[in-house]
Amino acid sequence: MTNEIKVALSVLLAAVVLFAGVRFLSGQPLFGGGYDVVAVFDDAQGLTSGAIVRLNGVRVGEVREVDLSPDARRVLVTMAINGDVEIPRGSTVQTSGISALGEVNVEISPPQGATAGRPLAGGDTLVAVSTPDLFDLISGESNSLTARADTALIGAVNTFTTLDRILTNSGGDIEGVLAQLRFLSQAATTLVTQERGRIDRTLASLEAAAANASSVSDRVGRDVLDLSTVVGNDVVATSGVVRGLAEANADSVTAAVNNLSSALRRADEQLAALTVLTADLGTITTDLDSTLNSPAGTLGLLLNDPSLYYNANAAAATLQQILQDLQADPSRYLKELDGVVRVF
Amino acid sequence: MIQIRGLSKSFDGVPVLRGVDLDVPEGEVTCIIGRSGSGKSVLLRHVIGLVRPDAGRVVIDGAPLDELTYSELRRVRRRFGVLFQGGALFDSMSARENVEFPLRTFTDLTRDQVRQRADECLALVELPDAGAKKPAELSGGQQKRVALARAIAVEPKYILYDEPTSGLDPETSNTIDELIERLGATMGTTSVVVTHDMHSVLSIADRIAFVHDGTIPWTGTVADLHQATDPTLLAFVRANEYKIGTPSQTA
Amino acid sequence: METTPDIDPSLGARVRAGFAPLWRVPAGLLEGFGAYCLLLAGAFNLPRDLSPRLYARNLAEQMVQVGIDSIPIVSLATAFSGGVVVVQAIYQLENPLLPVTIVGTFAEQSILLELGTLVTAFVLCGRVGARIAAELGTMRVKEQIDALEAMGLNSRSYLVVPRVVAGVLMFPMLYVVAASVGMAVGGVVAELSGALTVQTFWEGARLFFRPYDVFFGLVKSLVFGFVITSIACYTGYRAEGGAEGVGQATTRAAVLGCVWVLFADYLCAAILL
Ligand SMILES: Nc1ncnc2c1ncn2[C@@H]1O[C@H](COP(=O)(O)OP(=O)(O)OP(=O)(O)O)[C@@H](O)[C@H]1O
Ligand SMILES: [Mg+2]
Repeated sequence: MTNEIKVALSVLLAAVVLFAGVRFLSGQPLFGGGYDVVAVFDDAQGLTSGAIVRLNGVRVGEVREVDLSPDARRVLVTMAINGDVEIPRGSTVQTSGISALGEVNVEISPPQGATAGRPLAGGDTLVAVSTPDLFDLISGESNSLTARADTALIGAVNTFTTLDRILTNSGGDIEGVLAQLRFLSQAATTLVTQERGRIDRTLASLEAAAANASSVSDRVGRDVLDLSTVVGNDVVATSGVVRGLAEANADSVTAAVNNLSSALRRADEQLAALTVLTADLGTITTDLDSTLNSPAGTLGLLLNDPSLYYNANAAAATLQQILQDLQADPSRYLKELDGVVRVF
Repeated sequence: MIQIRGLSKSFDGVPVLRGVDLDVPEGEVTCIIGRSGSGKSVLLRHVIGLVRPDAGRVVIDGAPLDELTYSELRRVRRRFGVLFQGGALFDSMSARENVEFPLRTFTDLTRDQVRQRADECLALVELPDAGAKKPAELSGGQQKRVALARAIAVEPKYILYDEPTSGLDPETSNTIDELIERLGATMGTTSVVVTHDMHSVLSIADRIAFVHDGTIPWTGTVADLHQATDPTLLAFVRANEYKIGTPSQTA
Repeated sequence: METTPDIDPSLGARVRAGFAPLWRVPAGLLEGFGAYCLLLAGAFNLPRDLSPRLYARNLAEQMVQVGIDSIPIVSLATAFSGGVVVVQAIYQLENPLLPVTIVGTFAEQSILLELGTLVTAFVLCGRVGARIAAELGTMRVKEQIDALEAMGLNSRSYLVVPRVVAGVLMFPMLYVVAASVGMAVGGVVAELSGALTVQTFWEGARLFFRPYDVFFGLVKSLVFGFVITSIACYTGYRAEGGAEGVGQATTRAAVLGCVWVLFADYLCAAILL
């Protein structure tokens, strides 16, 4: 055997092993091809060619190309799907993972319920979910949570007013009440300063997301006219699913965010009021001090009236309850924030 | 025509050649003699441009080596066949392949012609059956002769022999001497033979150059040698003749 | 009255001589690197007056020596490293929170990206680099390179080009051998360990596989092929002084080859990943 033949044989063999090995590890059948499906993304999120395409978490192909559309407004992602995989019509496609955290891949989810018609074939187009309509939801009206917070705060105001009135009119166990009030106002201030930054960031990212979402949904609407019927059907089906998904997901998120911001704004105002009130109480106390020492009969009476003491105490407890509620909210917001991140 | 002018060379500050002048006329056999370590091999290496001189120059057929580009230099070198002192056979090739190598590389001969020519050359050096052996399987003298066969294979215009007969028995030495002479006579080859062997010198040399102390203090024909008075030359020649013990042949 | 201080006129020279050893090492390194570049430049400036057949014949021979003759040792080395990777992965990643497929993933990533190329390169530093350096070094000290030059051949092209090209062409082939042997043995070891089955192993290997990994490995092995063979040619070609010189050239080829392979590995990762 001459050297040339040895070399040729080994190189050819290596090429065959290479080809077979890559196809094997890619989960592709050794022989027989696949087909290409194009997904239209608004934002590729750092997707690159070679990224893995999964259907229900199972590897079914890879991203072949990531291109900008001619008008540079959308991203056309060509996915090579293995020949033996059928992707149901109406499936949704989205990126998964965040490029900052490592890999961005493509996740295809079949539609809920019965499949609509034939599975996707080569050349078909999927429009990616980029949480359209979320903006509308986010900017929508408030729900019971807002109402609850409102009620609570209004209640707080009322309580303060009552307290104010009582204090102005009485000389009960004022020292104890004041101490409690001071503690509460301190706790409220700490809470607000602590949570403020976190909440601000959440709001900013949600706002950006909402802006994105609205532009996508606008365009999706326009493009239905442009695309061919088949593709159009896909789009309609897709956006239907998208809407459902977004509604299911985004409801609580939106509400949470909305309420959080308004609640905090009000809390802020109330805290300002609280501070003023505290200052007032200070003067009242000095006033009371002098009054208490005077022999006037009414004040002595007030001082010994236990109902006043209980009233003041109850008011303070209510305020404490409100602040606890408020304190409990951010953690729930954060949980929902997680859901938002996953949607994007 | 090889012209050497004012050639000087030092190695690590130690001068080996200090102003060598030598003309090698075409078609003649020029023998370079001199004591061991006097710089004969270094001189030969200068002739084919393997060593860059510190001063002076070598001119081959009118082309000064120091002015040539590398590819021009290589073209000049192809007019030479060189027998290195150690043979310098390629270890990875058999004796035959060594002889065939320059033929395959530099001539347009067919495979059969190459083989035929290699056989011819191996026969000339009396090694017709050594073709299949690797250099390591050959004796020192046999290696030398294969190297000689390789040097003459392409019938170059100039052949440089560095001690072609050292390590050979007198009989084989005579054969090699005859070969060198015959190449000059039939092919018009110009030969430069470095040797210690005064016996060879006297039988083949047209001209003799004596290297001593980094210069060539004496050049002349064999006839001139008998009239020479240079004491170092005489000492060299006499020592040699005494060692060989065949003064009658010099007559 | 002020006296000008006596300055020893030889002081400057003495100071310079004192610092000379400091300068000698970097100067030597620079000189070596320059010589290496010149050798390669001279070699790849192919003479046009020689027939390509000469190169083709040498190339085929070198490809056999560099590539095909190295298949057994490369297989052996990567078989063991593939097995070790899997055993270690099973040991280190034994955690109820991690899926067992992670063993396959881990093996795939480390073998295709790093071990398949690096272990191969280290083995070939010895197998190929040392052989080339010894061969060229012997040719140098036995005047065979001079003999080539004296014939009018460009010895650099004649000797260096086929070896380096053979390295560049055959190392990717050896990478394929290394990667497939490593993965296959990894799968077998996984099955034998009892911790997971071959199927799970391959499932894990596929999970995060991307063809770019293989492309990266191929490019790296190609670069390593160039680095190892060219450095070996350089040290061998520059050998001087008999058997000792050849020994030095051989050692240097292996050591320098390993060091520069590591450096090239880093560069490849920095550029391509
Ligand atoms: N590459 C080299 N580096 C250092 N010194 C060298 C080198 N080549 C030759 N020399 C020195 O040059 C001198 C002449 O060497 P050369 O080989 O020319 O001697 P020579 O006349 O051929 O001797 P011989 O008859 O023994 O072969 C020697 O002293 C040797 O030490
Ligand atoms: Mg000599």
